[in-house]
Amino acid sequence: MTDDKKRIEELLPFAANGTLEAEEMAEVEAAIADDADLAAELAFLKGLRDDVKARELGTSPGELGLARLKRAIAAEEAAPAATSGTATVVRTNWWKAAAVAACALFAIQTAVVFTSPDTVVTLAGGGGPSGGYDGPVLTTAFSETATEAQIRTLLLEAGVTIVDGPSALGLYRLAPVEGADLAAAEAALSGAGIVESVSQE
Amino acid sequence: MSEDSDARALIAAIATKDQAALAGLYRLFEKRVFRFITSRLNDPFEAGDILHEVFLEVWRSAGKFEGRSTVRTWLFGIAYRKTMDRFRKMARVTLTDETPEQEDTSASALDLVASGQEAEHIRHCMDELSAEHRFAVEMAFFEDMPYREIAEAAEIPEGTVKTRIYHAKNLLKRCLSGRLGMRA
Repeated sequence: MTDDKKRIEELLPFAANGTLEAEEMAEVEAAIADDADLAAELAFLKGLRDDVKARELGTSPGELGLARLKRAIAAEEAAPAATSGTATVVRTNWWKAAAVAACALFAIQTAVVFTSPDTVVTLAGGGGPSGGYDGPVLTTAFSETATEAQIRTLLLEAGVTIVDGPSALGLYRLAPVEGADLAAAEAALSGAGIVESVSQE
Repeated sequence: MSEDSDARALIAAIATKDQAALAGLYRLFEKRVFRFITSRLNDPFEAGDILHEVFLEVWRSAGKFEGRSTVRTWLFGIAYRKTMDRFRKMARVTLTDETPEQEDTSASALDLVASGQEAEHIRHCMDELSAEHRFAVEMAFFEDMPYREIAEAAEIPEGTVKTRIYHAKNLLKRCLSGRLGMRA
């Protein structure tokens, strides 16, 4: 195939969709008039275009997606007003939010006991190390309708990994992966539509 | 008013944090952006999440839209980058424009599509394309975008857009010929 013919062939899809500049279109039309193969290629591409337009690719989220978007915006705009370092409740399901808050409180209390120089008593509590991990974690509750794929995607995006859970209440403890920032991860989780509550321990 | 002038007015209002304008833009483009993402991901749940992120970014950065491209190009550019980011994170794609050079100019494959027959075969072969090729074909034939606009949205040279569609077309023809051969 000559370079000229290949160049015309590369323009044919845009002749088929009608977006070529007038000069390019005239060049294509002249080439087609002299070459039956190019004319057949253009007919193929027009048929392909018709098929692509007729092809269904699933149902979009529609109004549900818009509602989710509005919730995320409301959560995002409310976030600056929240006190830094405290539990960030972004959705309803009060009992899950309460459980997350209780976990955070218990972890703080445990830390006070452990760090007081005069204390000789140690308490074994549920807010201790999670699955062998003893760094800061984000106690998180996902919505009951969240799918595994959605949760997996969110965790990858937020740069966190599950170090403990799910608990009997459905809470997960998430730790930042190496190099990830905990505060940024908390913000990412807070803004996600599938997260009901998140709190740092 | 054209779609783009409507969309520009909505973007200007979104920049002032007008949620009704965001809803208007969402309703104008949501199905098409979702289709665009789905054409690359084949996963409606992930596509829904990316769609959500695209419009959140529109909400956050509408004030940065400079108007040098159409709103459609800007919006599809955001969707393209977010989809690519998702691919990279999940290591699900190797980005390449390399395709076998073997061509199939079988008259039967050309006739088949030109006559509007065998849509099922065509759909199967479209699904066999790489994400990159399917994306280019979708942009050219569903959105009817000029190659310059596709190049801008995908941040690739215009020549690469033309080459991708050229290779995609040849792969489709080969696939169709193979299926016709199996049927014979």
